[in-house]
Amino acid sequence: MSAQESDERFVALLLANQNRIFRFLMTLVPGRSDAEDLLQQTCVTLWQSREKFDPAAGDFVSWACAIAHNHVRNFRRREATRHAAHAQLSEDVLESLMATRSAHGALMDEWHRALAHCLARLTPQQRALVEESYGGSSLKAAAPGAGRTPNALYKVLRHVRSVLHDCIQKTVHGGGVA
Amino acid sequence: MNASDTEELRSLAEAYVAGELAPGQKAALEERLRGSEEVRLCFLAFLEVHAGLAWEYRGAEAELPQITAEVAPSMWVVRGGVAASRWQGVSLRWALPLAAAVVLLLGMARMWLPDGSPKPAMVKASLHGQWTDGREVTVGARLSPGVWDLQSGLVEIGTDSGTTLMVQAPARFELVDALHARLMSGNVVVRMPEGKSGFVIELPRMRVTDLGTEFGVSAAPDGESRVQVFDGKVRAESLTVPGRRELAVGESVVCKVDGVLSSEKSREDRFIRQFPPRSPGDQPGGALYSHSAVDVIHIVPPVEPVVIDADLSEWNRTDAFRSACLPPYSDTYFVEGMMMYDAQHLYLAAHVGDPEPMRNSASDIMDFAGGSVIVRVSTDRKLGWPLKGTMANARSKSPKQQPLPDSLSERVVSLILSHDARTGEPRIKLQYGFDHRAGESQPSGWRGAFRKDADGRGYTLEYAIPWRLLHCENDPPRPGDEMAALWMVHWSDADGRLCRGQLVEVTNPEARSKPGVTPATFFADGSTWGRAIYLPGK
Repeated sequence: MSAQESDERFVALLLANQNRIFRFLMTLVPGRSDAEDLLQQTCVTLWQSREKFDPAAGDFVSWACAIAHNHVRNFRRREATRHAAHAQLSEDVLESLMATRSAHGALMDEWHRALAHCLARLTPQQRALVEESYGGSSLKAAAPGAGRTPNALYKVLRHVRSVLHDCIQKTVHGGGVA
Repeated sequence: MNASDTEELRSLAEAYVAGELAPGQKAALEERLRGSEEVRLCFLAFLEVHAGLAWEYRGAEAELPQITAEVAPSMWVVRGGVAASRWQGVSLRWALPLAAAVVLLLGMARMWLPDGSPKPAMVKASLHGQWTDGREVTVGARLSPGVWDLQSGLVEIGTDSGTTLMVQAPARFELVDALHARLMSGNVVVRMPEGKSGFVIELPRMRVTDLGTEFGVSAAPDGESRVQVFDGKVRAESLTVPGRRELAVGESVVCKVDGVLSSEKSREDRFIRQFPPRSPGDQPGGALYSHSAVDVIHIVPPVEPVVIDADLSEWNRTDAFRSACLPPYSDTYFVEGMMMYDAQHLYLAAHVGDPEPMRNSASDIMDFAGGSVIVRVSTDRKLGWPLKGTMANARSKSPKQQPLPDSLSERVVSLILSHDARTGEPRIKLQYGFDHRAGESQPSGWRGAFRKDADGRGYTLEYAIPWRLLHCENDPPRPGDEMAALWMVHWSDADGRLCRGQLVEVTNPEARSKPGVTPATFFADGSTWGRAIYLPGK
């Protein structure tokens, strides 16, 4: 295989799996902007380390997530010296969460697939709030336009996440996504 | 976990996601997470909702490409220099890889896209369309220039030049602008409005220029490029050797590794030109599903020694059955199945249409989902046909509903046949009875072989299974026996892990005509299986 073909294959792998890496990062670092920064750092490292990736030694996602985890460790060290250490889970708890995640990778993908199916079942108002919160401005900025307080909007968002969670569980564990 | 536990955990997860976990809450959450796998899975499920939404809406105002760069180093130029400005001051040593990484990340970093960046196409229709990263294709979404990977389904895209592209998954293509695209793999039908022309589509070995027409193009995994004209004219040019042809209606050329344009016979069914008609009673199984039509499979003795090499030249295919998924997938996802027998073995062979062949990397417990053929047979003539056994009956604990012999028989066997992409070896798993107990993986004594199709869009399998593994070595089937059998084929995603669709064949016509029958019904209810008739030698 030529270097170009090898690079092409690597990029295809990276692109096909970047959502898995991002979701893995968000398990460890729930703040979205932190996870986005870490994904960026991870992708750069993956690219720089691409020659070390050996498909025979294991699957791409495991290798990429191991590198992502290294970035998370550095991030947590930095954060611990600054602030909000109380909001971080302990290392041993994160390790056990990662082990569970790793053992159920296919299930996580099923959940993710079911999300699109469940989003389509939200009311237009609920969908608009999700879009606003995750794709647009902050709840604080969105509140005046919605005629509600940020706190009220946050409660609605919590409810919507709960509805989505229930729908995903029913969809996946009740027979799969058609 | 009861409902109250779940609700409390959900509340803690919300605080975690918001970064507002108080010290007491943190201790409570950690105690729970340390204590149980079930709690950890439940917590991860909450986080998946949050992470999934963040991913889905990373570009809420427009659907963004998953791949926005060609891989070739010469293409590592960020369009419009938008990203480059963010990296001013970065040492030149890192300039290329960083640029590449930045380009790759454009898919999630919408702030790097300039306002009003051109998005020259829109999704007009989708039938079960899904991109490779798992997102559903959204009708109405604008598509930016860049490379797009369609994993499954059929998608119609309209460009701003009025051109319609009908893309059949799996396909990888780059949208360059409203009049220019590249197809790296897969099938696309291009249609221009009447009176317009000039759309150019590049294939790995050929450039095709529309001269006012409708035509189909395909790119095989090895680069073989093909164009077929349905209406009007096109110009086809080889990219590697001098050669140009003008093609009219009904003409087709293929460009292979030598770069030479060669005429070939057109085939109307090679491309999907329009969406299939929809009806309220559409299939429940997703994009890929079949309507079974075969009642009986004839099992015949071989006329010459069977060599297990996935070359079926010694098989007489007159006793084979052919079955396919419903249109428009009937030419892509299909199976030709056949069975033979002698005093020592049951022989199974199949040719399966599969654009992601032999990629099974699924875990043992889900091995069927990564791409497989499952054959279920009864070898106990006393049970006859139809079988009465069911999974529910086999697992019944009720004294009023004792399991029937059919449900528990060790001579009712599931043969799960797959190609393990990690080892490159054929695989077999056997399960007995309707409770699937005592499943055996890779027992000794069987032989199997797989062979990928030359065009990479299917595979052939061939197995010899000793009667001993089917628990009837002392009383194997005889000519004239009629017993139950069922075939199932599963197709996977490109990773060989998740099931994308299935086909069920050789079924009981009376049972399959009942309303509400699903693939799971066939698997769990022996009365739905078809008949296997063992014929004498000719």
